[in-house]
Amino acid sequence: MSARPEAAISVRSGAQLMIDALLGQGVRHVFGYPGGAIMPLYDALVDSGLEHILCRHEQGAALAADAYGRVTRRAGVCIATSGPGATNLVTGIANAFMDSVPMVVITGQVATALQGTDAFQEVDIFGITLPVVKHSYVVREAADIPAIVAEAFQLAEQGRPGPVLIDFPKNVSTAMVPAPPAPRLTARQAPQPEAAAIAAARDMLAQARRPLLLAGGGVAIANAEEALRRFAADSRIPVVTTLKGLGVVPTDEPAFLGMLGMHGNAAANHAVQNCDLLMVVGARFDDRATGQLDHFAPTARIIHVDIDAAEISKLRQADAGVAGELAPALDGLLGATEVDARWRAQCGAWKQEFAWRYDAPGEGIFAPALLRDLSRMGGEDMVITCDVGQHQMWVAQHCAFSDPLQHLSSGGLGTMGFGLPAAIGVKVARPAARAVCVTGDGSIMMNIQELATLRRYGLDVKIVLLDNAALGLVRQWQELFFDENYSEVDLSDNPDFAAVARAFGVAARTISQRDEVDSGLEWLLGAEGPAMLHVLIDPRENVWPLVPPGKANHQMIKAS
Amino acid sequence: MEHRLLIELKNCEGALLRALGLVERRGYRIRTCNLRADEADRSVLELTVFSERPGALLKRQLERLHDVLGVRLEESCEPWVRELNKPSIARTQ
Ligand SMILES: Cc1ncc(C[n+]2csc(CCOP(=O)(O)OP(=O)(O)O)c2C)c(N)n1
Ligand SMILES: [Mg+2]
Repeated sequence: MSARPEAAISVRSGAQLMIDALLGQGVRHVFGYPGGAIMPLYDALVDSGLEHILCRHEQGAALAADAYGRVTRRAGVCIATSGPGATNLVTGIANAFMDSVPMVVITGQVATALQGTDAFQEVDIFGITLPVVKHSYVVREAADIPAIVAEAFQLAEQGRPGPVLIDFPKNVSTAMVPAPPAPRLTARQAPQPEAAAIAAARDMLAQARRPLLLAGGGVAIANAEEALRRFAADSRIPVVTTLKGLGVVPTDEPAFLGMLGMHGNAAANHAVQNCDLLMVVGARFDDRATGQLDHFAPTARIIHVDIDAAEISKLRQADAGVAGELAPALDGLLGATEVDARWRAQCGAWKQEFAWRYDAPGEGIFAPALLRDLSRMGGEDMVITCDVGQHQMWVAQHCAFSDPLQHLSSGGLGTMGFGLPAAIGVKVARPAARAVCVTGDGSIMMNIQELATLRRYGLDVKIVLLDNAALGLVRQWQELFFDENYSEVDLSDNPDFAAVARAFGVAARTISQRDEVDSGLEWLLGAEGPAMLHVLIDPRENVWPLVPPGKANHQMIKAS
Repeated sequence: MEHRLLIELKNCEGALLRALGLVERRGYRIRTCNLRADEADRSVLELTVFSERPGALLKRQLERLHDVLGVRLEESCEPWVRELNKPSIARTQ
């Protein structure tokens, strides 16, 4: 038999084209969970060269992909089936959206002929996720897959990053089509800051007497730390950061005053409230950072530098808005100012006055001191992933970071359950990193099933579980702002977490006394493979200082 | 305040829902709404919306959407931004 000419054109299924396209994007790892409508893709996955990490809940897969995207600055990929698989991803997608994390999400969907008929496991995930994606697609033709995937990655990663969803109907994934040619994407130029905006910002910098730099998570996303550090060193402007901006300048840098906001450092908040120029770079005036907006930085003019023009003047009118790439904008502002020595001295004095104290009375474990020690012992390779609650705020306050990618926290969405899957994403992306998840007794239970993922892949993740037998942050608010009317915050019937960890094959130890901290941390960091240090702390401990709701940032309250 | 917007959309799945959803979620009440889909690949959505929030902010938020090709805010007499800096795909033969 002689080969017919068409035989030379390879025929591929939609699922194979999807795998080809992912490989073509340089994807090595995907996080997911199989099921009916996505089975053709799982079929094509076998021996494809893509490494699939089976998480034990789709939320875990999405949050792991989120963290993978944060540390690689390339889209993390997660996959789930239609219906409940897809809806289980939603929290992770929203998390990535709120924190501007590149992610590509692939969901199985019922066959197109069944769509709109309430078919088994049919949900309109395209519709459900519209408010929390940067863009989304329903694949209608298998031949469109290469182009859709290429565009999805480009959108997810460029400009202000975010999640992109690809809904993949089953009949499209099984359709056999001639492999389409590789798509050609028109290169997208990063928006450059306008000269006039830079000039206006330079004027304002030159006039300012008490300027302050506020750096947000956008600096790390843009990989603009060096430019920011250069600008800070050149201008000698004191620096404060948001939660996600921690590490943009090293914590031990003398000009760094700390995190601002609700649980920020008082020095940072006083500097913001007293500055006459606030230069905001890659931050978006989140209410947890600003406190009552009307009273935020009341005497300051604002320079706002962001890649996303829609952030400028969204909440606070900017006197100079610089929309575009951060690094060239920062470089364009070099030499514009030399900060008055008195202002620097004033900031330095605040820094000294409000330095953290670790001399808490008693024999019980003082979580801030433990976290400070962890951070010292963990070194530069450590990446801390946080859950949400008091423990998260203590990490932000008391751990030192020399790089923003050493600290992954769910900032915008505040997702309890982020920490453990995020540590998985970090460890898969960067096997050499020392991944430490700092979690609480409430948060760990949100995705505790991922302990099985640690075991399965032998992922060397260390867990510090700060157990106050409570939903501590909520309890604190009830104590302070709801007249101690405690409602559904008691977790004193928690399981024995060390026993739970061991049941999953994760080594564990419990400590409760201050003199056990050193040996406990040494054991944890030296343990082979995944391990948990279960730390019992006083349920009455609060996070201080605190800006009460509806108050301005200088109206912080301290421990009484 | 009432704002009048002309929004040029790609004719792709979800484009209309995405634009209308954004307008409402961002705090702008839709008063009138008219869609003209007379070109093969693009449509024009004409809206009047009511909000205390500035129209220029909504314009910038709409411009972020991948399937929005351009937005004109009537009060401000701005030029019709047709080509925002968006990636686009050409498939080779
Ligand atoms: C998924 C989710 N549900 C509810 C909340 C609200 N919330 C914020 S902090 C918190 C308590 C967290 O408890 P835990 O993890 O034990 O941390 P702690 O504050 O005790 O350190 C709750 C319920 C949330 N942020 N995320
Ligand atoms: Mg707790």
